[in-house]
Amino acid sequence: MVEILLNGQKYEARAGETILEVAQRVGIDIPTLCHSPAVKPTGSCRVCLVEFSVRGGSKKLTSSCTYVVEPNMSVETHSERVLKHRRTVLELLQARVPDSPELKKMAKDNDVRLEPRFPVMKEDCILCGLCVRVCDEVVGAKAIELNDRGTKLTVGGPFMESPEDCIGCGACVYVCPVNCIKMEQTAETRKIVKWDRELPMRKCETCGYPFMPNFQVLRFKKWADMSGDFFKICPDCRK
Amino acid sequence: MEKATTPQALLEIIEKHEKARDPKAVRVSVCGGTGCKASGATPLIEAFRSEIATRKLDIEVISTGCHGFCERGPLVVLHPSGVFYQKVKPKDVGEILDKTLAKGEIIPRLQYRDENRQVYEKEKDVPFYKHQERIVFAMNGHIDPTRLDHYLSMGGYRALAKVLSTRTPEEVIDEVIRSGLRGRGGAGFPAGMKWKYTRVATGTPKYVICNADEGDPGAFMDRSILEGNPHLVLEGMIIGAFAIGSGEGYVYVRNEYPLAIENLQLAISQARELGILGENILGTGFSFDVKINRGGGAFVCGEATALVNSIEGKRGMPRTRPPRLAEKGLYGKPTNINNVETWANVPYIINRGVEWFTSIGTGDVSKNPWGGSKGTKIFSLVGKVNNTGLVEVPMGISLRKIVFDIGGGIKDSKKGRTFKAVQTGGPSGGCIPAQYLDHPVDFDELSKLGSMMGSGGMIVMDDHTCMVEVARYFVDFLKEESCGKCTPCREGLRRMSEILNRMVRGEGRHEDLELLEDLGSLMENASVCGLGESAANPVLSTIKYFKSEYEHHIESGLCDGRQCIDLIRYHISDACTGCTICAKKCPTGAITGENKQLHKLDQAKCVRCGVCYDACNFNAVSILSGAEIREKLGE
Repeated sequence: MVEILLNGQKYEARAGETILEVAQRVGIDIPTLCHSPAVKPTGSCRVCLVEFSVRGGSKKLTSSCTYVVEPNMSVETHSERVLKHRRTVLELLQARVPDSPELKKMAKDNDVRLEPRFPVMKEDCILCGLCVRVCDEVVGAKAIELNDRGTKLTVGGPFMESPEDCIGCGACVYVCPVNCIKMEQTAETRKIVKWDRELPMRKCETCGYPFMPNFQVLRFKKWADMSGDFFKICPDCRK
Repeated sequence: MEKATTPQALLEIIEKHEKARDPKAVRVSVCGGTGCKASGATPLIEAFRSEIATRKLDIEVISTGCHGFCERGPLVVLHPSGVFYQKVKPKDVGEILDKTLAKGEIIPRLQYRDENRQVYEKEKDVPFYKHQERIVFAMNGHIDPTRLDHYLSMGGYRALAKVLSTRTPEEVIDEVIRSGLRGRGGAGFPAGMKWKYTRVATGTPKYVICNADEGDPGAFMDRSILEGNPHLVLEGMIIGAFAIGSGEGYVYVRNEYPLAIENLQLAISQARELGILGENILGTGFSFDVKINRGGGAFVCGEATALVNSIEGKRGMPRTRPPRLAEKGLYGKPTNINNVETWANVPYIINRGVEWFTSIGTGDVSKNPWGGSKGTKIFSLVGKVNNTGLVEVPMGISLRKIVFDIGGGIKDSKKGRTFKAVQTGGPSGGCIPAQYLDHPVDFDELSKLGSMMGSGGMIVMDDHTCMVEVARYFVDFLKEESCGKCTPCREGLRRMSEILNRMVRGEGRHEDLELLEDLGSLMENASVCGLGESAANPVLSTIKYFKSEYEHHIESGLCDGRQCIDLIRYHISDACTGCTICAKKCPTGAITGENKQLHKLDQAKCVRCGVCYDACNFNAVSILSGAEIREKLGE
């Protein structure tokens, strides 16, 4: 156990816990965008900034999702300095992605100025990379990647083409913090719009429900070494 | 090369080669560095060799590593006299052999003349070299980097023999800590402390890495060390690996450095033959080997955590710290990364001792390795100075000494150009104005001025440099080279670039300065890695020291440096004698006029290239900006 000061109050933290995990456990609200408990943190969006010092040393800013608690640590989650920089981060993201209701709400909750001081872009993605990490670490498909670098950074399939390894599972759709990865589904096909990936669906032999893309079945069989029969009926009918 | 099986045997081999080197022997050192090769050193070396062979002379021709004074290349130094010739061509070879080497006669045409036409005969007297203190570069002008026997004859690998026969790893680390050696790659972290953290960290194997991903525009000191003396870097790495307890090392070097890679590869195989790389080195039970990893040329891969990702085959994106690389580095194992120049200092510290090393430089490191900056630093001196090239100087030297004594002062000072600023630390360094010219140059003092040591870039700027344009240039470089992972760096640089590009077009707004400072503060405080943290330096330091230039751009469209092409107009005054040279040189035909008549410049055709300004011998062409344009041209 590690004892830390969080906004002036003493808390017990488990060794190896991040500042964000402790804060969430004790009910202190730190906004996050690129964070998901399902994958390793990378600290890319910088919305979860906090200010900390160890043994009364100099105060620094860090991303609370990546920083593991240390003994004699004092953390401020809403100091003036934190709020100032968190607001600028959100202002920059808002100027990049102006039409996301999720981002708008977060900006409002954090008193970010309504009109960004920068020319507004028409992007829908904040480039947090969460979809890439989930596709890699959780799904194992490694279908999408960050491409190029600097201000030209984009997310998508290799060489910005439709990703051939995408199994259409929709995990990226589910985790995107600004909901910019859309899925369209009919009885015949499923399309992950952002990746321009359209896959024919497999229908349940019992109820006829199109429950999974065929390609996903192929990959699952390969990864899990399962019999072909397992995927003939949908999970609901399997119960 | 025979194989050494004990430290004593290695010492005997070294001594044999030291004795075999006759200091009085006549030798011709031709610089074979990339710079001199580009200006024709390869045929020159061949010409020397074939001519000497034809005449059956007993003269050794050595193709050495970089001498530093690249702009005067190809460079030739004759030993033992020390006679220095510059811009030598193959056709000069016969004359050098006939006159200088045979009779001691000097050939004036090949001698170096400084900006005041003063002539210097010997290399050590040339101001560019005279004021330097060459330690890391000491052997560069004397040895052939492809020859292990040359390195041994200069006492090479003595430090390794000493360490393996008389030191424990802890003693080596203690020596490096007490020497106060700080990382030459940018951050200035005490090297010995890093070694210690890696040694005590749990986990095996442990890795040592040499960071040769030199990406700063205009900087080439790491390349020159690797090209010119690869064994020195290897020796430092082997000593470091022994101290840290590492069995595996990497040199991460840019693929754009083919000669460095070639020479290093050769040095590694020579070291294996000598028995100082591989299993059970010199029978001590210590095993270590080095691999070369070629980088794809991303600037951000010089950042240590991005470099580690790159070796692992991942995207070159920085990781958040902690954990430190000393705890979880390459493949999650304890890893120590030092820059080329840092490794190259290690053998000298072991050979000559802590007292000698700490006698050079600033501060007191006896109690605290952060207490000062010790040893020398190599700078790549470029920009508007007379002598550009690589200079190695003691820490604590003043900027004035570097720029004026070594650099020979500002280029075209006779035409009225004066010193304005010097940018240190590469693209994310800061610009230091004239009032700090006497400030000592070391890690802490440069930081205090809002700049940094970085890897040692030094760009000198004159009064015809616009500081807003300088900031724009570096921000545009960094926005391409940022990895793009974190919001402050990626979006901050994007917005800074937008603002600065507007400003140099004369579309700046009053609120821009505050906006730039807000973004700069965010980037400094909240970025993931050192690139983002320092990326705002060129903007923040120029706002700090040259705020009026920003204000002039915004308020009156005045570019003080007369550089921003949207804010300037060329103008021909009554001083024009009608010599017609400007009209002849103008590439767009914008200048018209009869012989001996006042010439006219058509603004609509002028692309503001400045050719007329440079060509005019009567100071009749002037560059107008701001209110002057309205007054003189009525625009």
